[in-house]
Amino acid sequence: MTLIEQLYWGGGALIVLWLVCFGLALAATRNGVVTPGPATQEFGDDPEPPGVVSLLGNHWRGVEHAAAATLLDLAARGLVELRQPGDDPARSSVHLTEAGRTASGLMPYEQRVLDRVIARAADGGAPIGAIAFRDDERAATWNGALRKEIVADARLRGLSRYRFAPLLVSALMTSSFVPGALFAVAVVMGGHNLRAALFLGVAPGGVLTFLLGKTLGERATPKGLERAGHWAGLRAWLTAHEDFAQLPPAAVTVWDRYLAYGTALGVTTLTGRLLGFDSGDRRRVWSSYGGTWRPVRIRYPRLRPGFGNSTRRLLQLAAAAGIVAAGLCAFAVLRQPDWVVVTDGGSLHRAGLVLSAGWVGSALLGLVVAGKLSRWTLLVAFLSMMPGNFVSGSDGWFVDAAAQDGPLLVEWVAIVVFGALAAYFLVLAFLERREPDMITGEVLRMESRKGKKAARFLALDEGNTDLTTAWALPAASQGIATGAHVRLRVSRGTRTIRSAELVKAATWEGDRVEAPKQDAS
Amino acid sequence: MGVIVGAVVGLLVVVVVWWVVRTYNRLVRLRNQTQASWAQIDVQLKRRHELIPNLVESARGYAAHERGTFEAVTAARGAAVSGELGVTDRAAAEDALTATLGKLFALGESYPDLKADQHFSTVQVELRSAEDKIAYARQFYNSAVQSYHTALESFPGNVVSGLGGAHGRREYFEAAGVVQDPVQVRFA
Repeated sequence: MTLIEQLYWGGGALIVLWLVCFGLALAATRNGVVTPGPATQEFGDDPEPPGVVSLLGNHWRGVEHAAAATLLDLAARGLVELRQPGDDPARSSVHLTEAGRTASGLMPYEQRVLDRVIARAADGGAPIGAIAFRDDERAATWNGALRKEIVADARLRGLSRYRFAPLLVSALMTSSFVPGALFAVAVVMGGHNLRAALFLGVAPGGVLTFLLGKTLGERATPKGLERAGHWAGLRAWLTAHEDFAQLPPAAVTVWDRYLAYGTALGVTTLTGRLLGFDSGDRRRVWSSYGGTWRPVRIRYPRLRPGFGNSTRRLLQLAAAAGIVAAGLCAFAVLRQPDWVVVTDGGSLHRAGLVLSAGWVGSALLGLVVAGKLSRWTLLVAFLSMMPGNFVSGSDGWFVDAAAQDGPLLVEWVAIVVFGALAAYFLVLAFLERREPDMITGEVLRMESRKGKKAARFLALDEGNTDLTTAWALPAASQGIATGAHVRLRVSRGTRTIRSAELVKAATWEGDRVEAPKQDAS
Repeated sequence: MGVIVGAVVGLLVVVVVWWVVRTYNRLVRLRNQTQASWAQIDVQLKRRHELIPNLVESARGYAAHERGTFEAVTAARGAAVSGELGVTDRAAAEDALTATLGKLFALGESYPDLKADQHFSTVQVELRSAEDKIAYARQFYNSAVQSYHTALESFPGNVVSGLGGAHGRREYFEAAGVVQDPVQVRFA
C-alpha cells in the first residue's frame, strides 16, 4: 500500500473513530427519562417561573409558549392586565398597570416580555395581536434571546446544563478536521490541484462539525428531572380538566398562575395560540397609526402583471406579449393542412396528452406546495397545451387543428390574452410618465419576493383604511424598516415606490436593540 | 350482495359500539375527575381545620377576654368538621368558618402584642395560604363538575349515561345562599 493510500485509509478510519466517539458521547449525555409525578394542583415550594417550566416541559429542547406563559405570569402578579371586552378572546387587550410601570427585580426574560408590552401598550393598552413582531428576523432574534435568558436561569437553578462539556466540544471539533487534513495531504501528494485538496480538507470536518452542532444544547440535571416530573404531574392535573384547554387569556384574572403554567406546559392551547410573540399573521396586522388600534388586512399582489416594474421593463413586456399574440395570430391564419406531422395515436399525440396533464399537475402542485400560482407557472402551463392542438384527430381534448379554418378557440383565447397584456403594459408604461403620488404612513410589514433582484413588498398603513395593498419597494432601497413612519412617492399603476423619505425611525420595541440608522433612498 | 350488506351492517355495529364505549369512558373519566378534585378540596380543608386550634390558642394568650370570637371560631370549625355534610352544606359551613376567621385575624390589628407574636403570624400566613389553595381547589372542582354535567346533559352522553354506572349529577362547591339569594340592586 502506498503512502497516499495509507493517508486515505487513515483518514477514513479516523472518521469512523470520530463517529464512534461521538455516538458514545451522545449515548452518555442523553436526557434522562422524566417520571411524571402524581396529578396535583400544587406548584410546590419556591416554584420555578413559567418560562423555566416551559423548558422543562419541552424536555430541554425548546421554550415553546414561554413568552406567552411569562406574560400571563406577569398578569397574575398584577404587572399587566388582560381584558376581554366581548365574546371573542382574539379581541382581548393587554394593559400596563402602575405596578408594571415601576416593576423592578424581574428576571431578564420577564423584563424582556414586559418591555415588549410597554413598547406596544405605552399609550394605555394594545390588542394582544399587536404583541407580535411583524418581522420574521426580529421575532427570531427576540425569541432566541429569550431562550438564552431562560436557559441561563434554569442553569442557575441547577435544572439544566450543557449537553457536552466545553472541553469535549473543543476536542470533537478539532479532531473532526484531522481526517480532512490527511485527505488534503494525500491529494497534494497525488498531484491533484489545490482546489481539490482544499475541498477534501474542509468538507469532512464541515460535515462532522455540522453533526456536532445539531446536537449541542441543554440536558437535564437530576434535580431538573425531578422538577420536570413534578410539573408533569401538574400538566396531568390541568389536562384532566377539559375546559382548561380553551380558557382565554383574560381568564388569568380567575386562574392566576395556573393559566401561566398551563400555557408553559402546553395545556391551554387557545391562550398559547393567541398570545403570539412570533412574526404574526402576515395578512392581518394590528396598527395604531392614526391613534386607534385596528386590524389592517394586507393584500400581496403576487400575480399582478407589471407589479414593481420600471417603464423600460413594461415596454419590454408589452413588446414580448405583442409579438406572441401576433405570432399566434399569423400561425393560425397561415397554417396549412399538410403541416400535420403525426396521425391519430401517434407519438406527438401522446406527448400532447402528457404535456397537458403536466400543466394540470404543475398548476395543482403550485397550489398545494406554494399555496399560490405564479404567472410563470400559468404561462408555461398554457403554452404546454399547444402541442396537443397540432395533432391530427379529434378524440379526447384535441381537435383536428390543421383541418380547421382559422384559429382554434384556445388560440383565440391566447391571442386575446397576450394582446390584452400588451395593451395593459403599454397603458401602465404611459401612466408611469405621470407625476408620482405622495403618501404617508407607517410601514406595517416588509417581505422579500423570489429572486434577489425582485422588489420587496412593503405594506403601508395610511391610517384611512382597514385594507391595504402592498407596494413594490425596489430591491436596492436601504434603511426602511418595519414600524417606521415614511413619506413615499409612488406610482399607483405598477404600485412601485419611486422614493422614500423617513419621517420617524422605527424603534425595536421591547428587544433593547437600537434602531438602525435610516437613510432616505 | 348479502356479504356486502352483512359487512356494512357489521361495520355499523362496530362503529356504534366503539362510539358508546368511548362516550361511556369519557363520562367515567369526568366523574373520576370530579372526585379527584373534591379530594384536593378535602385535603386543603383538613389542613385548615388543623391550623385553627393553633391560631386560637395563640390569640387567647393575648386577648383572653375576646371569648365570643374564640367561641364563634371554635363553633364554626366544629360545624365544618362534624358529620357527613353534603357538598353544599359543607361549603356553607366553610364560608361561615371563613367569616369568623376574619374576625380572629382582625384581633391582630387591635392587639399589637398579638400581631407581633411569631407563632400567630406564622399560623396566620399558613392559614391564608391554605385558603388560597382552597379557593383554587374549589375552582377546579366546580370546573370539573361543570364539564361532567355538560357531558351528561348533551348528546350522546345523556343516552349513554342511562346504561348504568352511577352517572348522577354532582353538587357545586358553593354555599346555597350565595346563588339563591336575589341580587340586590339599588338605584341611587
